[in-house]
Amino acid sequence: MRRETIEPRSDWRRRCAEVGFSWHSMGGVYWDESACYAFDEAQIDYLESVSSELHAMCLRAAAEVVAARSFAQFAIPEAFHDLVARSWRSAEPTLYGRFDLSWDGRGDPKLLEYNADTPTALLEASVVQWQWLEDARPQADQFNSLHEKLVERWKALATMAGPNQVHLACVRDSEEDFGNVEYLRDCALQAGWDARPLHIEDLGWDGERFVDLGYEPVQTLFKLYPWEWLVREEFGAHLGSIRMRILEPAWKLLLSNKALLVALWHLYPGHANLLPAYFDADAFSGEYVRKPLLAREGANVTLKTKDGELAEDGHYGAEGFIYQGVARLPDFGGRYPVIGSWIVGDRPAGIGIREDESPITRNSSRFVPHYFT
Amino acid sequence: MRQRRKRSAAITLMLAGTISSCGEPVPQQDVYQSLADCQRDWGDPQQCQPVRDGRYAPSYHYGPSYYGSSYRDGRPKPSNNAMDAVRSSQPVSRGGFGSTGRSFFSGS
Repeated sequence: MRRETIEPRSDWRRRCAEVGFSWHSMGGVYWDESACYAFDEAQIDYLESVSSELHAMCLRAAAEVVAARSFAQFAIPEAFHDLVARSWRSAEPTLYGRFDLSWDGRGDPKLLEYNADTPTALLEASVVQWQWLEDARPQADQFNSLHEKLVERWKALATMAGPNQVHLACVRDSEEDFGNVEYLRDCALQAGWDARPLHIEDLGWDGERFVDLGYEPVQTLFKLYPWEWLVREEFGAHLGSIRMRILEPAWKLLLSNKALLVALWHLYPGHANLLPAYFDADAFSGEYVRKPLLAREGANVTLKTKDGELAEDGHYGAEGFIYQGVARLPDFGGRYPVIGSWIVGDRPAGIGIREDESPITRNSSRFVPHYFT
Repeated sequence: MRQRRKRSAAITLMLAGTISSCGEPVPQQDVYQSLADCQRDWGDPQQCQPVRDGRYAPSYHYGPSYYGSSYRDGRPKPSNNAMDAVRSSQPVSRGGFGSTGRSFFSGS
């Protein structure tokens, strides 16, 4: 794995716009093709196999949590324990998720977290970097079959879900979220779904069921909106009694929570792709990373080393924290990449790389394309 | 030599470059002078309810809520069998999700 400095395509803005990628310059530079990461085939094969194994391990961890009903460790409100257990036991289907891995191409990738409920940077990983590869490295390959796997998965979900109308919802004021959801809606349409856009704020409750703006019952809801927020908001009280299918399913509350990292280390102590993780900082004599159980985009993460602390601001942490061993992101000349490894259904589907000038990946981190030979 | 490639063979998008709208359409109910007029549009008499809110004579009937077309000024346009159309007032509450998203990032 190496970082290459390259010349951006002269028309990259136009090329991004062609595929609906309108937030390419969010915060200044977000899509950054002045560099790319290069891998060899063996490294990509290894990433694929590690991702597959980690996903299977996470499913086993979820099964253990449900069996032991240790939902309180995940700060899941008691009123929703049965909902999560039911969702897991009835094997409610999942669409996707993304592991964040620390790796420099040598040794073993380490799992930092699993964004299993509301992963973003999907259009960038699936379409935009593929388009870059076609233009800039046409002879090379890329670990990225996200698009066809997403369309296939939507087809499989249609078979499982019955009536194939789906509403895809996100918050009203996020261009990035809306772009991600529109891409997923595109995939769903290609898979034959009657796929409709909706703002999560516009979801209505008629006393018996959730309805869209046309008062039509919502049969299947894809929501780019975290479960831990849904269960704590006003309409959350209705979630336990309705028949509407929700993607991601309620059991993803377990995988998207940092307490999963503790459960994994408990089940697989010493595993090559895991870092030690506990609910108590005293388990570490030296450095560690403190992460809120529920947080996004690096907020409220604290890296404690012998040299001091590096802390990211934020408003998370009310539900508690976990403490994880340190796997520093590799340093490529002052750029710290994190590898996002995608799972679609239950299969690895590709990677996207985001890099930052801070060893803690944040919302402002740039997306950098990759290839392999 | 590798057995298979790991990149997508082709990507086709249906929505790219289009502008989707989640903007609020206007649900409407048509107002009929008689139950018979209402049934002409909706068939099932249970879909037609006598006017009880005082906006029209009690012999008039409301049809069910639906999405139709509107005039340039935004007023809903009634069907040919109806004499008027009003914005639907079906009791649905909204805004019960989304409050946390105003302060935090939803994605991860």
